Amino acid sequence: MILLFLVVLIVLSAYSVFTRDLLHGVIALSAVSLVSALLFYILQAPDVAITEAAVGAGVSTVVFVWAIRSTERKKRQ
Amino acid sequence: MTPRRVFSALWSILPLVISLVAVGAILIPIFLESTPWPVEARNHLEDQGVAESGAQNLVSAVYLGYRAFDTLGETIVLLVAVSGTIGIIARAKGALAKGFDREDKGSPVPAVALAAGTTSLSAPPPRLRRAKTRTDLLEVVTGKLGPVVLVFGFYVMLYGHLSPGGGFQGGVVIASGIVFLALGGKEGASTRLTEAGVLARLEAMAFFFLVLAAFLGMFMGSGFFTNFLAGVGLPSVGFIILLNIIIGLKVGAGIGFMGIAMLSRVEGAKGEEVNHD
Amino acid sequence: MIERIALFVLFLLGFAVIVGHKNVVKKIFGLNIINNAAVILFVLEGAKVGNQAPILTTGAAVAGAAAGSAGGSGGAVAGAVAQMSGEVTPVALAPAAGTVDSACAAIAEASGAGPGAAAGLTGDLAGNVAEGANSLANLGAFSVVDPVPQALMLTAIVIGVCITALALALAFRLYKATGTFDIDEMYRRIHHEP
Repeated sequence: MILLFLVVLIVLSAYSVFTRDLLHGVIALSAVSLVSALLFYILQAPDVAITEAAVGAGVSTVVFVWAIRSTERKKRQ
Repeated sequence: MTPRRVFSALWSILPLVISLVAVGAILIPIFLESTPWPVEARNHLEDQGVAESGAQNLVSAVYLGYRAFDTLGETIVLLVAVSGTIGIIARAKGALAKGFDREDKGSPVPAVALAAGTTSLSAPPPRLRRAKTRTDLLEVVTGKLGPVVLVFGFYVMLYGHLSPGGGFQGGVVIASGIVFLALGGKEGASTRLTEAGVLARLEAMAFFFLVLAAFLGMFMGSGFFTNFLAGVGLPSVGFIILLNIIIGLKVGAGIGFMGIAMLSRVEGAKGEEVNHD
Repeated sequence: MIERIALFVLFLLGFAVIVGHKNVVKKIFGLNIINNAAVILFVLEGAKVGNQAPILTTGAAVAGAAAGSAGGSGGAVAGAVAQMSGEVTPVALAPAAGTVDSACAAIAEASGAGPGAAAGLTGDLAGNVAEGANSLANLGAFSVVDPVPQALMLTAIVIGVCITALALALAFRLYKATGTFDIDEMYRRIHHEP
């Protein structure tokens, strides 16, 4: 069960770094935070789950989206 | 594929391979470690954590009682990071929302609209150009949910000693609530929370009170950052609740300040002003 | 074990992104991935020693507080008894310890006191333990997950988001100064400017 979550995490992280569009990467990173929060809940760590969900899917995504909207979105290869 | 091209491709990828192998060789013993996790701390905490600190949430008892220095260090890092972020961005003109820049006094009417004759000085500040991303759905949903999330953040912060929650958790939920309020605020209606000075002052005052609470143990005779209420006769959980409130306000105000300073005014890629009021 | 290997792969992926990619924002993605991998590793290891969340419910909490007030020097029942009998004997209270009487008899037997001491012990302890026999049985079975890594990781997550924000602010300023996110291009523009 935990291994399944970890495999999903690896796949999502790999997608977020190998895609050309930076905004897609940010959304994938936010999904990584959500899956991590679920994983923490399964591992009997509710405090860490609350913090990770609020931080990863909330503030961190806002900061990333600000940085990308202010500058450029597509990674010029 | 000439040998030269193959060679240059391999040469350019060589630092990556070497650094990966080096880091892998250093870290692989950690990940393959087979000694059992020491359980003395867990045993001691399960036995006497509640009696010594008063909080039933053992995680709160740890980071507010046994390892309170870590929390103090974290608040210092938060303060430095938030002020550093705002300070770095403020140098680039027009990057922050109105009121967060030092030079920007917040002009009530956009000059471009005045010149175009579409508005006058007596009219309320209009939207200059409504960006496509600010739809009604976003504003209605976040505007209505903002106070709910804020109340939930306060609940999580105040019940930190009994159920999952506490200073850090409640603080980041409060920060999300502040960002919601800023995203969904209707035109002309501003809550006090989204003004520039309030959050910065709140964070600084919370940090001052945290240091004061840390020294209070010394004044009462038990030591730096210790729970002095047990000696006085009050229930020792009061110290945990007090520290939770202070840390929650600090983290919430700091991260919320950073969030809404970046939020409202975004400069487009080509340098034009896109005003998201 | 295999979960640790998966976390190792995640860590190496994040590290490879930091070293290998040319785009500054991708490097910051890699920083976030490394942070995630480290936090999950700590919480995973801490969760292997127990099977309950570290929030003590009323029964165990009250028993712990009562046992703490019983011995005076704090500690489990075994510790209090050992103090009274003058030696420290680790007594394993099995979950199926049964009633208070049988547990006290077992403790007194193990610490070498006579049967009279067992009777005195029973009266003392029965008055001190607030809940029923359940709480006494709970004292011996440590089943809570280790809370120390979780407390450390809370701090780590909050600091991680602050560092990410700071790094993105620096990347933003670099973009404003040079016009690109690519580090090779940045190098060329910085060094070829008059």
